[in-house]
Amino acid sequence: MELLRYWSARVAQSVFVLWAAFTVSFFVLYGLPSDPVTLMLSQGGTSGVLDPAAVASINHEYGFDQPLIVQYVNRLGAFVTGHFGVSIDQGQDVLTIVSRGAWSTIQIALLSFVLAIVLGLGIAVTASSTRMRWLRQLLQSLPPLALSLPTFWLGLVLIQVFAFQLHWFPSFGDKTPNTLVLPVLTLAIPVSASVAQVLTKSFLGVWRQPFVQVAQSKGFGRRQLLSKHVLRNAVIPALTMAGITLGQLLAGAVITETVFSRPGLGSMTQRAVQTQDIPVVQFMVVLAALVFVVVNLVVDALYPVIDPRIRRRGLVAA
Amino acid sequence: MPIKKSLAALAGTVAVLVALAGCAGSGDSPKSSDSATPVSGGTYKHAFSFPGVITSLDPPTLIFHEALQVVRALTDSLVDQDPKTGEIVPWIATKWEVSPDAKTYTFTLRDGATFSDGTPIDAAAVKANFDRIQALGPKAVGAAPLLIGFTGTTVVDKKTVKFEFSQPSALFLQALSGAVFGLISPKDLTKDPAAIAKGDYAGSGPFTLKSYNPQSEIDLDKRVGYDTPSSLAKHTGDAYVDHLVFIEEGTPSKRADQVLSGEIQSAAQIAYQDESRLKAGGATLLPLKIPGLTENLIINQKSFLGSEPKVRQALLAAIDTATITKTVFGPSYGPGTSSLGSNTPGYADESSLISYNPKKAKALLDEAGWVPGADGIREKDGKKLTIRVPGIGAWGASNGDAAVLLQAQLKEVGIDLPLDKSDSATQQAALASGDYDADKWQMTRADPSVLNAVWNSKHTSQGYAWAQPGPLDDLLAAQESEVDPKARAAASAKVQEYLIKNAWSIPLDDRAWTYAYNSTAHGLRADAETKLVFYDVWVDSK
Repeated sequence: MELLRYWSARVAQSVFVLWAAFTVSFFVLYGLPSDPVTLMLSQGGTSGVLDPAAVASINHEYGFDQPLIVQYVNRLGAFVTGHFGVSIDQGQDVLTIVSRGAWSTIQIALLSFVLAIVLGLGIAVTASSTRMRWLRQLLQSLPPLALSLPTFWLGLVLIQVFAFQLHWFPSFGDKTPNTLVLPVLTLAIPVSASVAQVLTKSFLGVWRQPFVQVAQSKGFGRRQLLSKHVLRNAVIPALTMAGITLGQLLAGAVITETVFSRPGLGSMTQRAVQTQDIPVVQFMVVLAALVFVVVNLVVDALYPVIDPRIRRRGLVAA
Repeated sequence: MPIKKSLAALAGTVAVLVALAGCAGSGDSPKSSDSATPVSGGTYKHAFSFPGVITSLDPPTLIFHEALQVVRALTDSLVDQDPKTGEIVPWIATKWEVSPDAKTYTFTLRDGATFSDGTPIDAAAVKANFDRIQALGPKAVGAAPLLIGFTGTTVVDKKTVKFEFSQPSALFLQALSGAVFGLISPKDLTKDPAAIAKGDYAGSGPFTLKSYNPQSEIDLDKRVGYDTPSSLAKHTGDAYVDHLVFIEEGTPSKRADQVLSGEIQSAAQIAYQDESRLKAGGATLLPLKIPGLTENLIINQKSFLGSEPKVRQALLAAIDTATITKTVFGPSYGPGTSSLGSNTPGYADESSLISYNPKKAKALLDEAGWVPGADGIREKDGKKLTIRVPGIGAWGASNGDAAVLLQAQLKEVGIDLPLDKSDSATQQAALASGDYDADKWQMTRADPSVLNAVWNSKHTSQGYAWAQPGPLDDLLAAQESEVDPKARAAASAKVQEYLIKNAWSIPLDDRAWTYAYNSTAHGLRADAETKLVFYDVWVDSK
């Protein structure tokens, strides 16, 4: 019962977050001084002064001529029933355009996530369990370096070296598997740095816990200690980080996809912002909110699985 | 100590990466000439920036180069235009007659022309196309300005079609050569506009659409059985390449790198700063002068400048267009010598009326009663000499730099040019209401009719000059009713002379577009409006 109440509350919270994302983005975007219809018709100003009748008719088509609150209610209703509007820039259904790019982004996001975990975990485990101080110092200095590299710079350097000079990988596109390598690397490196930092700290902390010393004195070898005791305990903070990691991946995807000319959700968002394609931008905002909400719910569900000490009793320290 | 060691290791790694990145590019020597034998097959890749310009493939709705280039590969037009001479030559139409009053155009179509779905290109098909364009009305953003006064199309017989206007339209013949009037199969004309915008139609061009992703890539396949090339084409029959791919690449330096590395064949919108390394790497630059209205300051005749001829003359004398173009745009641009670009049919060189002379500018302003104020900007009767140009500071990198130079040159003689950065909607509002002093604008068209669009006192949608009725109207009418090219050019020369003498138009530069291609690309050529034509291209198989 308590579990049910807890989860109902969490779901209600999530719905509220989604509603808030939609509402705030609506008022920010639709309240902007610039006018996407003018933009679309004037196409950069080269077609001449706009025919007011043409502007009015398209405004009417999109419903822009109605009072803001009416537009809000209409759009909220449409959203909830799965009608996300038509792209002003490309004249096609928002969902159609988005679904075209979704798989490409999911590919690099998933692969980058896995690579980031592997790299981060690798650094954390090595740094915390090695006895060679110089190695630990080196490994601990890598994450700050990686974090201080701008993602686009990293991508451009990788393209220069591995695409244009060595011709090992293509510099654009998403059709073949080898187009994945450089973008995934670019996206994974900064993310792995954050993961490494959190995990290293966490691992080092757990190694110093009294129960580890007890286990050691009982005769457990280092490897057994690691897998049976340290790992599970150290991973908890990383789960919390999942949300931040996801944020990094989403933001990184915008830059990475633009630098590598991959047609995906990220480059699509960049283009929508550039052309003030409000329906698409709004959809992406709400989609991003949805992803965060879902991930947080999943992480919340995983906590008691990994650490039986965590119980649901009202507030959960997250 | 360990920190120092790790730093050293890192420095070494970075150094290696930088060294690798700095290595010279491929050492391919440039092909000496294109006289090699064309090779069939392969894929030709061309890159440019898509956002904002690839929004649809529906021909009459398009105004941007890039989209028109794609449509050009998918469709044919009634006529073509020779880029060297400006002459109109046969394509789908073999001959034509223009009435002396330029109100009636009759075309004879060639035999056996078909769309890729097998439908014949006959007079009925042409009529169906133009009926649809008429029905689109203002939505035909590209075609509508070229159809002012158009009353309709008549099928005279199977191979003869007639277009009629209610007023003289001297620009129509040249306009028909554009991809804006690319022909679509009548079977597809009734389709939903959204489908046509996605390229879901059969044209009669050398390529057919395989896939259209306005986000990233447009794939075209060779059309087998193509046999209606323009009389300007370099070969007949099918296109050489199997696939033609247009690739989205928003970063100019990356486009240059892709050409250098051989990943693509050619790229558009080459930035000035990439030109020397492209040349050094063995690529060929193709700078093409753009015909039409050159970048110029169009004086708003409704503003205070309309009654201040000396101020306008001072503007002409105060601007050093040679320095601006050389500094910002490089050698492919030239100084402004007329309101029309130097390769526009009908262009007249007015450089004798334009000379950079800041002293003369200052003298003129003194004569007109504009006295320098404390901040160096001149004043008269309490009003500052400020020229408001909507959005002049908002036009992107190179144009922004040019605007800064322009502002500095004008400041030197005491004229204030604020670098207005307002957004598109605000600019539109200013332009619609006439609340500005001058508009900086340009328009590509291989025809002098652009002058009429801007300076006719019967205000058109491009009437940024808010022209008042006067002698210019007569000169423009003479230009627009002349069908013979030589007579038209003579009439247009009078228009240009009038515009520059009275400083209603302040030319800023003679523009060019620069393309680049590498040694794997052959057969690339440009049409009369600097769009690339891909029908004759072939690729070295590598």
